[in-house]
Amino acid sequence: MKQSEGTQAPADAKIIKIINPKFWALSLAGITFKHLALTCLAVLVALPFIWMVLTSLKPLGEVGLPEWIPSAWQWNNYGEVFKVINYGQFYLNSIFVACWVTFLQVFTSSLAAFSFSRLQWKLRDRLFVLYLGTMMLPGIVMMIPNYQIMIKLGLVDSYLGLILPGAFSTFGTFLLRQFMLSIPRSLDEAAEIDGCGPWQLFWEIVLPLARPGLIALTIFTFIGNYQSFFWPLVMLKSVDKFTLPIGLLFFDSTRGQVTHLLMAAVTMSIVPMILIFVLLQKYMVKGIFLGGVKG
Amino acid sequence: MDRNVRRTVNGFLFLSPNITGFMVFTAFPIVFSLYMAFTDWDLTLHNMFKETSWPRFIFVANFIELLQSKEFPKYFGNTLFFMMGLPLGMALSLLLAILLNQDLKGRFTNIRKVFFAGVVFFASISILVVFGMKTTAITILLTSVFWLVMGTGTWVGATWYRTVFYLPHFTSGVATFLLWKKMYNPQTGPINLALVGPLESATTVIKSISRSEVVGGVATVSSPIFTGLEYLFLAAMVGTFFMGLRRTWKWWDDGQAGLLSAIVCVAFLALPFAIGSGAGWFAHPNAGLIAGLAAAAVLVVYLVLSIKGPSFKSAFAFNMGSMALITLMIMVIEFAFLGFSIVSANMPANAWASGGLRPPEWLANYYWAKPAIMIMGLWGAIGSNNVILYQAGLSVISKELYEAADVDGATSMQKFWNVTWPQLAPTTFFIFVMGIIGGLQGGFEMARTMTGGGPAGATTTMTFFLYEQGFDSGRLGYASAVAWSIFVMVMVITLINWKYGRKHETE
Repeated sequence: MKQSEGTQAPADAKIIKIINPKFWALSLAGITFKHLALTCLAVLVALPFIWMVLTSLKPLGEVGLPEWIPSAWQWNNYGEVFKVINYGQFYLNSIFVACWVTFLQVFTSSLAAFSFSRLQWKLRDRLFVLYLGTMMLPGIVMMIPNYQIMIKLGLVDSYLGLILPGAFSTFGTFLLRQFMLSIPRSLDEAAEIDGCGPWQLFWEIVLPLARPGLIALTIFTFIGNYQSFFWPLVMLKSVDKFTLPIGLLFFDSTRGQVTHLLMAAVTMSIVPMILIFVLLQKYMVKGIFLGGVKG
Repeated sequence: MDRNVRRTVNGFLFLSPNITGFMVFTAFPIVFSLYMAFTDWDLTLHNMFKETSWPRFIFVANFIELLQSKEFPKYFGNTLFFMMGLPLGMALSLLLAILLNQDLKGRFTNIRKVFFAGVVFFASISILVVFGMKTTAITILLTSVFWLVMGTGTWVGATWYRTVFYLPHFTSGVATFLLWKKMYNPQTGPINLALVGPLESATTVIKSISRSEVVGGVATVSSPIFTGLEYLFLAAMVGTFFMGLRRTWKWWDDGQAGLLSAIVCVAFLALPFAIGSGAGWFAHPNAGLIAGLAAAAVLVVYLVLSIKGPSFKSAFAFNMGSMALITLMIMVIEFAFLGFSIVSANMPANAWASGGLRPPEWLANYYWAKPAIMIMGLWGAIGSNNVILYQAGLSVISKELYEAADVDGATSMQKFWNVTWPQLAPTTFFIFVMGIIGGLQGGFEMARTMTGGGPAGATTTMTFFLYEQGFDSGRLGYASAVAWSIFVMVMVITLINWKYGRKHETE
């Protein structure tokens, strides 16, 4: 993230200033102040997370006490969650569904984006406008009829019912199209002269070059699906098929009194997201600019 | 010709997996949903399994019912109320982006390690001093967290801070809602546990400076100090109104805002007075009257001043978005002062009540549930995508503009209002519009996990209402009508964005 650092520094290096000790002291004070302000805000923002982790390690009796630190660190709270509730199953369900949705969506979206951005054919732009038009519709407009479709197909309360509607995405198509448009056209022409078919062009030239876009879409889709709530809430009826958000809600509504275990469950559901974000955030920034949406 | 056909076939082949799904799960449902909105479709009666009866086509009856219902306007109001947090969140995001875009390293790259160690040492010492002598476990823990954040911050730079700020937004979902639900617990939550002590000492202080007498069998509490505070905050509210009006007038006079923009601004500024008196929020009716009269007087002065017309005329709705956003922010400040005034009017009576001042019951209380949700929303909104967008917007502002302002001797405040803010207008407008569109559709997850829409519908948003009608009561036809109503609102905002958003970009 080089662009964000040092952008406001004066363009010219003023040598006279550098050898002046007063300038050094002022600069040091200014920078220290900025770091202090940022750190205070950051710690404030992080406080709920700190409380969450500390509470998840407390014995039940200490949950309502003003003291944040547990008297004895109960690491086995985390193991306990898996015994109290079918947590492992929720975890697996979530990851299973999210992986399938992500794979299918990235696959279908990249094919469609390639068709919309690199191939010339009749009706192409009109169809794309249709795609764009549906992007403006709130997702909830589609939820109710989709539920009827799922009833008709007999897919209510099944993994397939969760995966199928998520496998096709207008947003993903839009994002990847924007990305593929930034790849120079001259590559296509060169490939065509070499006798490349459209599939080869897609698989061997465009797709490798669009990798940052693919990674961004993969992260967005995975996280979005990992957290998705409305659709699974409507679709799922049996406990053994619950995904993590529905499972957590179920945990809270059936055994909400065991706050320490609930916090352990919440912590475990957040950890994968934090890992993904910290490791892959540089890919997401580009996607945010292209798509302008929540990550 | 042959070539063209082959191209079209190829194009369709690549598109086919996606467009199949698009037709089945997006295009068809949209059309079908519109049809459903005009029927009495009921989940229990017509769910395709037991086709006892077909849904009847009832034309616009669903929409008429929606318009006539007393609940829907209330839930619409709730949704708008939650959106009031948006300008505040944006202001914080902008502040953060400006801080993050500052030079955080200085010219100390060579002696970075020394600097790093010094800062960390300084930070830990200062924290220990601030927390005083009682070095409990939590103090040590917080100190080390502070140490860690700041140490990494000096080492890595802005990216590290941005990561920390982004996490609440990134992880927001059922998990964090449950976390906040537990934090807001009136008895065992950490927020109220931390508030109990300070409130007890506040009770004794307030009791010592106010009097409680029994007059004619009714206990009345009198406290000149708090009555004074009440009026002081009202004065601050009127003062804020005056400031906002002066700013609006200046824009209008300078040709920075069109007539409609100025009218919209004034409407926003006057809204707290209208809502406050309409809902009977003013603790003393007299106080409300005085504040209202003062505001009206200020307004009249400016109306008289504006009779001669602006010095520089501009287009009718010129610069609406930017102006409206600033006045919205001022409106939120006015509401805050109104809130402070009400709180100080009621404080002594609450202190004398049995048990003294008590921490709020947050999600369980009709009046506190909305602010509680908004505080949580702010926590999630500070470091969201907005910071990244603002950072990008800031980094493309030409440095020559700042240098020119330096030559003219502008202060940093002037530089902000005359260089940074106008240059960021497209970014701000985009974030604002996206925020409104998201806000209109928002609030469902929060309501479902934290409050169930209560207490007494205080946190029910339009989407949660839709869910309740559609999937709890099973009235899918009515729910579709709600969905399309929400869509119409989103559409209006999108059209405004198209009409005025472009104008901003070309400026």
